[in-house]
Amino acid sequence: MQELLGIPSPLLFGQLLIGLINGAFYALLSLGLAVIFGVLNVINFAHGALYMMGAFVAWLLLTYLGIGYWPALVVAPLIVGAVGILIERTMLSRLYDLDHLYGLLFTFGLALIIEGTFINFYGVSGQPYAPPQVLTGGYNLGFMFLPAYRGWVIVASLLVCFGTWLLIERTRLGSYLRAAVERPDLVRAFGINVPLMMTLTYGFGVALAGFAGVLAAPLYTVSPIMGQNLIIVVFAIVVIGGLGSILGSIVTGLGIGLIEGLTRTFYPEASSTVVFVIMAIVLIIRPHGLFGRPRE
Amino acid sequence: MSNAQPLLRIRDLNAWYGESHILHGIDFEVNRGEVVSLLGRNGAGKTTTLRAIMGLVPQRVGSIAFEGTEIGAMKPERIARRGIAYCPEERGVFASLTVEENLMLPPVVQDGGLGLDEIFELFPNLEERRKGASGARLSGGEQQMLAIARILRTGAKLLLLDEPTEGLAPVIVHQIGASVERLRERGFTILLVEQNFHFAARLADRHYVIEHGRVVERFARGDIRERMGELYELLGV
Ligand SMILES: Nc1ncnc2c1ncn2[C@@H]1O[C@H](COP(=O)(O)OP(=O)(O)OP(=O)(O)O)[C@@H](O)[C@H]1O
Ligand SMILES: [Mg+2]
Repeated sequence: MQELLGIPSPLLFGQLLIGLINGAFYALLSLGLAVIFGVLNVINFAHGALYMMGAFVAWLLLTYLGIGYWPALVVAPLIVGAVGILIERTMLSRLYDLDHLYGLLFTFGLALIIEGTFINFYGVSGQPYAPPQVLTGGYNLGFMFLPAYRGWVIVASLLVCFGTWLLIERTRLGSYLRAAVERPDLVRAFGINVPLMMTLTYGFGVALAGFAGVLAAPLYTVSPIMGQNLIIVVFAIVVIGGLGSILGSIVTGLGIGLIEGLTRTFYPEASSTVVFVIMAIVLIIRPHGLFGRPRE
Repeated sequence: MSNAQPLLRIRDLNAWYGESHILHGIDFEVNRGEVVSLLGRNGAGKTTTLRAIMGLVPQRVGSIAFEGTEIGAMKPERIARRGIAYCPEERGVFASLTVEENLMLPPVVQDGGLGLDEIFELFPNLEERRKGASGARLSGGEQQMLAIARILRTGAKLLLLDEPTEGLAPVIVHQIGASVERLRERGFTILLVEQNFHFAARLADRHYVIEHGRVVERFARGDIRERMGELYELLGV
């Protein structure tokens, strides 16, 4: 059997693939957090719960309405985004004039309520969700076997991340958003409806989480607590990349996924803690994150 | 068509930042086509007056009428869309936007704004810097020009300029003065806040002096020469 650095290469590549897939989810989720934080100045602790909601909505659509994976990939994020818009309009927007901590505590409480509600109805054990028929096989790449669905997850999340980056960095709407991150008051004084932009940004950011949830449904079981473990790591990634940086959150998400994969290969005992070790090092050397700008 | 009605008419404008009462009943008006200056010492309330007109000071009461419509309780985005544009004292050029994005940021709210060719004619330096990757890389003078230029595209009739000469070299001040002159000829109405009294004296038709959040004195262009002493005393020059 082929070996690389003393490790059988299929094992190494297998772990890197898992790392890349985790990284794809980290990137999608931290990207949403970064966009929301940039525009609303809110650290959205409900992000993991809304990711879970995306997966659950896909499962509910299939179970009760017979709506399959592909439509769900569009419909579930739209539903989660609409829930986000409702949350922002009715509750979150009332906290903007108060200290940041209120937004954080509110979204934290909201996560507990959302997860508690789903646990109440569906328990914690989890529901299976089959991948779509066309993505059930796999490809032999020579050095490893790539299950089709995993390949799709990587491609889809990279496309969505790149599309979001383009939208924010290269369009007129994106220039409104970037300007509103710097000086919301001035952007309003130019006649741009910043409060509406904030509502839509929250909706968009949580829709990204919902999208990640649907992608995750066939990989992991759909369970009310699926967001909890993930979101802790994602917050560490946000700290590493620097809050508010779009490109930073994408690159850091993928990078940390790969580093976790490598750690799992070479030193499995540290695989679940390596991200926090990196976070601690970054906090010591560059407290505002690898890609973040220091705040005045 | 009646020209009797001022374009902007402010009566008994009061404003607060939290507990501190900053504007104590400001009264003045700006007629169509005029350049009017607000003078006054540091902290007199000039910037606060402009921000209140723009709807950016949430705690405000009193009457602000623009083209006869009461805008005193409107949100900033609605006020802007009625045709008032604001160039802040700190210029507000966005670092995360390219020079061109900065220039194109404010949406067109009405017909009659300047085209890019006219803008570059007024500010040739900006055309050279147009491809710049970040607004923050411009010099102070260029940032000031950009901050003025971007609000000329929008079709706004009334321009609020807050200390456009602050901290700039004399040659740039001169260039900005010439541009303001051209904008007046082009039919813009301008409310100009200035510390640089000589700059304001050359451009403005009328001056109001603000002190402790009140208009304490007014001067017409013709009065200035004979009332110079009085004015210097008020401004502490
Ligand atoms: N955001 C704020 N919060 C609290 N007080 C403020 C705020 N902005 C201004 N002030 C106070 O309001 C008063 C008027 O300030 P303003 O900026 O309107 O003065 P100004 O006439 O523009 O002065 P300058 O010529 O220095 O620009 C000052 O006493 C200032 O300290
Ligand atoms: Mg001022």
